[in-house]
Amino acid sequence: MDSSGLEAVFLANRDTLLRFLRSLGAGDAAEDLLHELWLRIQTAPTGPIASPLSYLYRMANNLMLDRHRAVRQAEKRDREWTEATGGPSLDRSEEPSAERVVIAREQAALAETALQSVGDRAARIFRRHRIDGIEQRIVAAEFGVSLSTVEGDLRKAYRAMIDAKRRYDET
Amino acid sequence: MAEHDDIDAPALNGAALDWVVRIGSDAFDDWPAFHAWLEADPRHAAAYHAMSADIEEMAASVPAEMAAPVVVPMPKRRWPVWTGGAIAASLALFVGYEALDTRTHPYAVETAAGAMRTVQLADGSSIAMGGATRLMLDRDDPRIATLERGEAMFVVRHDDSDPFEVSVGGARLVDVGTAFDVKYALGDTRVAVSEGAVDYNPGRDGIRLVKGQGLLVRDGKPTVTAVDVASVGSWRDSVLAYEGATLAEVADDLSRALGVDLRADPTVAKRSFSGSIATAKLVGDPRLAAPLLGVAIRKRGGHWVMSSRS
Repeated sequence: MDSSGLEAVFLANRDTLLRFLRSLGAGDAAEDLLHELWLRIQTAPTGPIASPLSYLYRMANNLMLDRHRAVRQAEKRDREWTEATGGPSLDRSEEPSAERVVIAREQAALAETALQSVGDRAARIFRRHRIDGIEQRIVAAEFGVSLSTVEGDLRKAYRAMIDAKRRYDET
Repeated sequence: MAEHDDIDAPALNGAALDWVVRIGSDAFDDWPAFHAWLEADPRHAAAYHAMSADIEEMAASVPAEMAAPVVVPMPKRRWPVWTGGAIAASLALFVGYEALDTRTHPYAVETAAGAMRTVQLADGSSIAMGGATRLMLDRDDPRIATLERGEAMFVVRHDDSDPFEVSVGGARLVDVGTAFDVKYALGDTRVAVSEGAVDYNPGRDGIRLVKGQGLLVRDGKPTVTAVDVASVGSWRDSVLAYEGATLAEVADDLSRALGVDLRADPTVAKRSFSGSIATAKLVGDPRLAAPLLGVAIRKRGGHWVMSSRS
């Protein structure tokens, strides 16, 4: 499939993709994001794409995840900036705010504890997939288990981490 | 969360989690079903995004100390000079798993080109790693790190009695404050200090770099430069900022940030560039940076080449 093929699939499914972006919370920006998607497929390096509509859905999904991540990071940066201002910093500045250090340390400890609670295989599968970035099917092959076992283990590990984080955030 | 009072919240979160897991596989193709789920209730999208972001944040804070050796598969297209490292890394995959049980103390943390990762150290310090970056850390001593290649931003907890020390390109950097960026690429070492101060090779010929100062070490010769504090480490937010950098350096940074192999041909390699590049817009395709850089970017063989326009 060359890029003109991908463009044809885009055009045939334009409304569906627009609705998909809206359903992911794009709101008024949906048209702009769709346009960005269009620009990306026109400039994308085009190897063979087995399933062009899936490919477009995934690009749209990634666009929305990026957008949410950017908003969240900006909010966090603003918060940290506000916390950080006020201290004098000449030749030698203050340390990272004590609170920031504590939060980072506690969050790391939480993540570690949560991961330990799910068992050795699930913890190792989590690391392989999330930290080393290895695709789920390959992780399954490495561990000699089925894809649904990998999914089950990831679900368990994610659940443990999210529960720990949300409990922590509430306190 | 607002859904906490809702009796359906556990079911909603369970469903959102299922989608995060399933979509996490490259093989996922059930998009119409995902779309239908999202459209069924606007709270579904909110739960999906919150879940994705929380998992991402927690995964980023998993302590490196107890990590299995992190060996990231190398991208298919590599710079020739990195081939040695790639082979060493693939050997490390086997050696590393052996080593895990005996808990040998130095260990490598590595990112693929196009990736970023934050390593939290036990003492509360953190190291943000850019793409195609390799760090050696030590389980026994959380206060030392070696930057073997790539770029990393260190935000360290200062301790006069046990200062944090970074080895790079055969030199030592010893922190006297808290935040600094170090890059080792194309044979040059670059340091930029955004908070506090750092000593370069402390001793008789040592140089103290304070906030707003940087250092370029080329062919063993250090030169102190001024840096814009606000842009130190801005690559963590996908912004590459330059003041009089060569296009060769920009091409190398973009290669690491985007996971592509981009080179500047000799006609433009020494050209100077000042400005900021938002890399999020360029993922998968560096060509969109061409107008900003005032060059042409074309695909040649398996890689991208910057050359003069016309």
